[in-house]
Amino acid sequence: MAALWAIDGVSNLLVASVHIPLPGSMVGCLLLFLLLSLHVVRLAWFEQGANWLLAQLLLFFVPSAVGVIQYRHLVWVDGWRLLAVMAVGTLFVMGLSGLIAEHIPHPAGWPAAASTTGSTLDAARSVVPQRSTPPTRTASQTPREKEGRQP
Amino acid sequence: MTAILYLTLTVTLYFLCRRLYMRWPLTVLSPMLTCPAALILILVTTGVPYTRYIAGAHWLTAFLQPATVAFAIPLYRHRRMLLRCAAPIACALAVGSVSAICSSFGLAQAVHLGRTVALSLTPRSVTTPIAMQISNAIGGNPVLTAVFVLWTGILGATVGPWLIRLLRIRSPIGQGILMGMGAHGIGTNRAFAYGLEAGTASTLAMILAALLGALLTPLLLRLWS
Repeated sequence: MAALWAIDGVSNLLVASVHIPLPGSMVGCLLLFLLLSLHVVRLAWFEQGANWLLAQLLLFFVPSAVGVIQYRHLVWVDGWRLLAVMAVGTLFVMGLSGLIAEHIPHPAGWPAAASTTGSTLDAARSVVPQRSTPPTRTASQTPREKEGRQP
Repeated sequence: MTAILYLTLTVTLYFLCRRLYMRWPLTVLSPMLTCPAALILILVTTGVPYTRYIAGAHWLTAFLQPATVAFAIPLYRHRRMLLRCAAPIACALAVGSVSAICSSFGLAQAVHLGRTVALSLTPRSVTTPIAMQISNAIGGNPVLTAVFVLWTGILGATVGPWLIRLLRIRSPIGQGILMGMGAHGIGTNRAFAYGLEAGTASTLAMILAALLGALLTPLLLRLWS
């Protein structure tokens, strides 16, 4: 945790001093990835803190979400237009990126399935703070079955 | 004193809401929805102004910074997969990010929403901590952006599975990227129901889309105007 704060602090300073047009924490993310890839730092130093932070991610922006009470008027007046923009935009973005990823050739069989261990996949799931379904049950599920389960 | 009160209240309510969601995993009971709703209800009924609430609760927001840095961990863990599937991931995310930025800003202008609102809408397909920072950088309103990101996630997670069936997207990488690019965290949560591969692809899509969004949003907006 402290290590992550340190990286964040360093990259914030970096951004401020060299005027990189990116959020400091994003530069920190790239910096940490680079340091990990170059074996300058070890994954173990960050793992616990990172897993905890990512698991509680939703909590950290609850205060911001509450901020909408300052904009009651806006939601009241522009609500439907906002919703329309978001709905149309989301359908467009999802459809486009999904179709492209589907139709650009990629290696048959997912490389990670063979090479990763359970712990890596658990860690990937921890990014998603809410319900995590057991892999044994979900692996065989078709979208249709899933639909039925989640009304 | 009251600062600590609002901080504790937020944390307690969050864990209560999470409990509720684990018991009944319905989208409408997601803690992203129930926890802010409960807090708003409390603030409105007790007449506490938002400024007093945020004086205590802003400590939680500060955690978003190291949390963003922490995204490097899953990215690093799945670097092999990232390299192997670089072509479809790169193409889908590049097109996805550009279309997300342009469609949000363009549609907002088309329906005559105000400039601040339009700018706040622009980073809505990116995960909240980064979306708020992008919004701040381009002159939007980070608080409004947080709300738009939330709604985008809920909308995307709802229409995503339907879209996957409609477009006949069968590969886990296609399904994952569709969910992660369009609906970030909430979509990724849903993507894991399609299997671990789709979920991991969605996680990667979410993080990389955030990186791309932070880079492209100011650039594209400058070109636009």
